[in-house]
This record gives sequence, C-alpha cells and structure tokens, in this order.
Amino acid sequence: MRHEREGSVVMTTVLTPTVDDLRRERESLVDSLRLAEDELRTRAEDFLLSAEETRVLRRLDQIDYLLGED
Amino acid sequence: VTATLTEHAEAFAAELTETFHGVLGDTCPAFVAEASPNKRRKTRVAVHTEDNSSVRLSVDGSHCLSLLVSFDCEWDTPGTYLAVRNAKFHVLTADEKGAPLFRYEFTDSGGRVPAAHLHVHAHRDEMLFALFRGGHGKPKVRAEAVEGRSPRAEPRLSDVHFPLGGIRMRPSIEDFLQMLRFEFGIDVEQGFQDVLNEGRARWRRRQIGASVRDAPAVAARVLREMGFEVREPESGCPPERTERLYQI
Repeated sequence: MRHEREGSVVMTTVLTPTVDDLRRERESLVDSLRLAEDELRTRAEDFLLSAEETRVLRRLDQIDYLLGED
Repeated sequence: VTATLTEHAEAFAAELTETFHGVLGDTCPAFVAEASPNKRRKTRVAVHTEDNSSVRLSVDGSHCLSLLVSFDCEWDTPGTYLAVRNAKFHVLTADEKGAPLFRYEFTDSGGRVPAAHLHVHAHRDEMLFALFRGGHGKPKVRAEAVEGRSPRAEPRLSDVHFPLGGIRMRPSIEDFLQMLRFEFGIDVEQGFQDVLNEGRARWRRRQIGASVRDAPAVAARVLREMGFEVREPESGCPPERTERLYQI
C-alpha cells in the first residue's frame, strides 16, 4: 500500500501469514538451530547467542506473539 | 469506514520507514506490518523491519553499530486507537555478537517493571555491591541467587530497569535516533533534524491526546483557564484512569 505525506510516497508491505505459514516457519527455524529451543533461551538470558541465533529467537518470539502463544 | 488495526499498523510502519529513511537514508530497511492470523488474536500486529534486518549505523561511512527495532501492536482499551504493547530499541556492536550496548524497551503489561525502561550493559563493582545492599525485594532475591537458593546467580547492572517516563511520557523513536546522532555521531541525511522534529511533534500530540483520556478533568480545567468553554458530557466527567497515572 502507498502512503503519501507532503509529497513523499512510502510503500508499506503488509504481511498476512496464515496460522500454518507461521507454524511451518517456526518449525523450520527450530530445526535450523544447533541447540534445543530451551537451551537457546537460557543462553539468550546471558547474551551468549550469535547474531543469527539472536535473529532466530527474535523471530520465534514474534511468531509466538502473532499466534497468541506468548 | 473505520480503519482496521492492520491499516493503523500499516500507517505506523509507513511513518517509521519515512522517519528512518529521512534520518539514516534509503538503504535503511523499510518497516512492515505483519498481522496475526489467529481469529482470537485478530487484534495483534507486529511492526518490524523487512526480514527483521538490523539497521546499520555508520560513522564516516563505516558500519559501527547495529540497531534492532520492533513493535507489538494491539487496540487500545476502547478499541479506537492503535496501542504499542511492546517495543524494543536495542543498540549492538556492528558484528551483533554478545550483549547489546544498551536497550530501550517498553512493555505495557502493568507488571512489576517500569513500562518504559533502559538497560545499560556495563559493569562496575560498586554498582553490583549496591544492588545487594537492600535486604528486601530484588536485592534479597539477588542475594538468594548468590547463595544458590534461586536459579539466577549472576546479578548484573544490565538487569536494572531504569524508568523512562511511563506509558505516556516515554521517549519516542525520534528521541532515540537523535541521541544516537548527538552522542555517537552516527551519519545522518541532510534535513534529518526536520524529520525528527516533525516525528517527535506527531508522537507528542498523540501522547497528549492519550493523557487527556487519562485525566479528562485536568484537561478541561486547563482549557477553561485558556478561555475555552468546556461542557461536561451529560453522563458526567469520565473518571481519571488512575491505573495509568499510577503505573511506573
């Protein structure tokens, strides 16, 4: 969708994933980890994650929020 | 036609993109609005950067810091306005490894921590010592942790939630970006200050509106003092939302 303000135009993407999309993405992210999710979360409390692991955990939290499972 | 929450979130994402592009340039990732598919959770939208990419902050053209920004959005209590329930602005080193340097966070959960707060990731012995002195509340829990009676055994300065003005008077993303410019000298676009000023004014007008709903009698009194004629609704002045006024 386009949003116009004072002559400028900003294109904004709206994502509308299905429940299945999010569940599949979650499963795929968890499978990609070398650690169990619980262990990942424990290590996250001590900021011991790599940049990629942090990104994955952030996305897992987002998915949980969107699914109402936070 | 009443806008849906997703439409509100979309407009919010557009504002964020416009602000970030206006301050940091068009290479900065755009913000997207991602709607919840859950029928019971239709009132949830996540607003984040495309692919959850970090925002690269440069000094003299060199990538020196990374910024992570995300928002969880829902309807406000009357279901009229978009409300941010959680927000995170995390500043990390350029390689994004290890602990952030500092974190601004917001959580509107009415919980035990300040709604808007700052975490500083640093260490000083005297600070740790001070965090144990209290003998009750959190200091007591920390002491128990050290004695092995609680699972968390490493109290840190970064665990402290420094309060930042509560739900209504918390800093805006514009304040945060301006701090990064002033304190760290990050590269910015020409005209960035105008972009920040406009965004900050937009934010504060919204917060003033929300504050009026928290304390309508105060708003009416001030307007009368300014010469406006203000009439109460037939049902009487809506009560103060003291839970909002009390909340840290």
